[in-house]
Amino acid sequence: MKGGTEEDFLAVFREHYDGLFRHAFFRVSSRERALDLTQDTFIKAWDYLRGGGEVKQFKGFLYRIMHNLIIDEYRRKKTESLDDMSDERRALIDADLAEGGVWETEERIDEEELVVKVREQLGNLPPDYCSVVTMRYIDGFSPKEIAKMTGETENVISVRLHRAIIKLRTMLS
Amino acid sequence: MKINLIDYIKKAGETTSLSALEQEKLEGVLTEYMAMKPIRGVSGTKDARLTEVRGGLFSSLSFIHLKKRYMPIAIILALVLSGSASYAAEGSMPGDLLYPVKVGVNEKVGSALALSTESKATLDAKLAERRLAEATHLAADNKLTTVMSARLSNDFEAHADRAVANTKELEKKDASVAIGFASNFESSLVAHETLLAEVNAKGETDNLRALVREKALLVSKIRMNAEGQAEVSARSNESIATRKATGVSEVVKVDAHVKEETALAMGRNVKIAIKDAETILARVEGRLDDSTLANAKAQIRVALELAVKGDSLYKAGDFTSAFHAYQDALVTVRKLSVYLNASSGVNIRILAPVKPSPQTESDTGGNSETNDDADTPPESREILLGDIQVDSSANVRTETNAGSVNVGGSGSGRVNVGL
Repeated sequence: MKGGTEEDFLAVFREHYDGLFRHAFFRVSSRERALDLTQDTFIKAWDYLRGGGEVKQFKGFLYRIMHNLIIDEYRRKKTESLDDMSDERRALIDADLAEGGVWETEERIDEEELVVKVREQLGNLPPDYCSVVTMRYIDGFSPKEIAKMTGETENVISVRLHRAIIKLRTMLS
Repeated sequence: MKINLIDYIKKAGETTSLSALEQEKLEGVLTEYMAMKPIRGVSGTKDARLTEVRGGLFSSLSFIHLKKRYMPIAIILALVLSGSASYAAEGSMPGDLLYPVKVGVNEKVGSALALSTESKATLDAKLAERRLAEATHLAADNKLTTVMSARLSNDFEAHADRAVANTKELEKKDASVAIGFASNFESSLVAHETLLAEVNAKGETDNLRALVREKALLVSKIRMNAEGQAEVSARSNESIATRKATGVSEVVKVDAHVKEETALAMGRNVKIAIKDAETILARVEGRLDDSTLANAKAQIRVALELAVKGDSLYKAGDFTSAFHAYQDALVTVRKLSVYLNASSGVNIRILAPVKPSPQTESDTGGNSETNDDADTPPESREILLGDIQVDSSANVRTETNAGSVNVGGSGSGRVNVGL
């Protein structure tokens, strides 16, 4: 948005606010916090532009800001327990490894109910898993784009994504 | 029936959205923020646009035009438009030229940026405290007139009432957050009341002090109620013991979880509060005499010991005692922070000799039983008690903490407005 105006930035806001809010909502499991994070993301982006920064691709830029804000929040809230819990959760995940994201059932599934359950359980996934699932299937980023945003390799993202789906399926079963 | 989980994840995403009202509010906040902090070197058309969006926010500056003070107006407008006025105004006091900018612009921007109940409560508590700090500063300089005192009291009351109302809302949503917030606010109010008493040479702060105590009592009531809800008060321990005796084990499990969460939240609060106190002390220590400095450091050490004790109790599963250890630490450092932040014009005697180490209170070692079964559960702490003894030999001279409006740098949702 080189040489852009407030109107340009508002246009960027209108294009991305809903997607960013959705992203935050699935990662922090709180509508109020998601609203705060969406606001903070745009304010940080504006501050960057005010400081003379240039943005070529707004979508990736905004999601990177939000991702960092959420990571900050995790760090702040779970200073001690996060690492311990990750090990515990990882052990659970390894134990729960199964076939994949598609399964057959004899029972009739209430689709709406399943959507609600998926929404609830996404927030209960370990943070690393929740972030890749949200970025891939809610925000529509490719594994390559996610890797770029999070600083991981594409392979790591793909494996994490696979494990996250298996974990989610186990949680829903 | 074949189920593709990824389809359902996408559906869950598609059905999650901001309401039109939320979107409008978000856009409004962003518009005001951009108007407050415009990109430098805007064009003529953009100037027109900025003028238009500034209308609401900057209406509080309209008094300037009525007063026809051309030179100061020009300076203020230049500062406002260059974005420097907000910074310059932060350290202003009632009666200063830039004080209306501080109250009418900076603080309003802060309010507009606070969306969540917690952010709103935090901001209003901070602004209520600001008014008390200003009153203390003016009283110390013998400049607190009846009119100013009345204005500051009104403004304090408005912010404190909003903070209290939002604390009640927080209590409904999450008792542990409400307890943490209320413990912070209550401790600060008690400390401000002590400061106001110290500068009350002619009784000019009597009314304000009464008001502060009234609000502190209100906050205390909410806190104690929330502690009851979270099962960390003495009374609720009894009720848990009774429930256990009657075999309602599931309820006990739920309660233990709530207690654990509440203790954990208080533990996080106290670690932040200790860091804050250490930062303030590092900033003002050059102005403290040796004994006062030693006393302040000792108080931080006591708080750290209490926090460590809380950690041990938490690990041992005694969440109620852990909560109280954390809370004691929080009260100690919150009060200390308020005293250290007191205005440079205030000669105060606030830093009491340090109490004995908390380690002697109880052994935290191998007690892995929760306190639910204890015969004598710990009493709920009384923050309102004036437990700071006055040390007549210790004078503290500190300066006003000129802070800034922090808009979510850490994504925490807290809006920090320094004194």
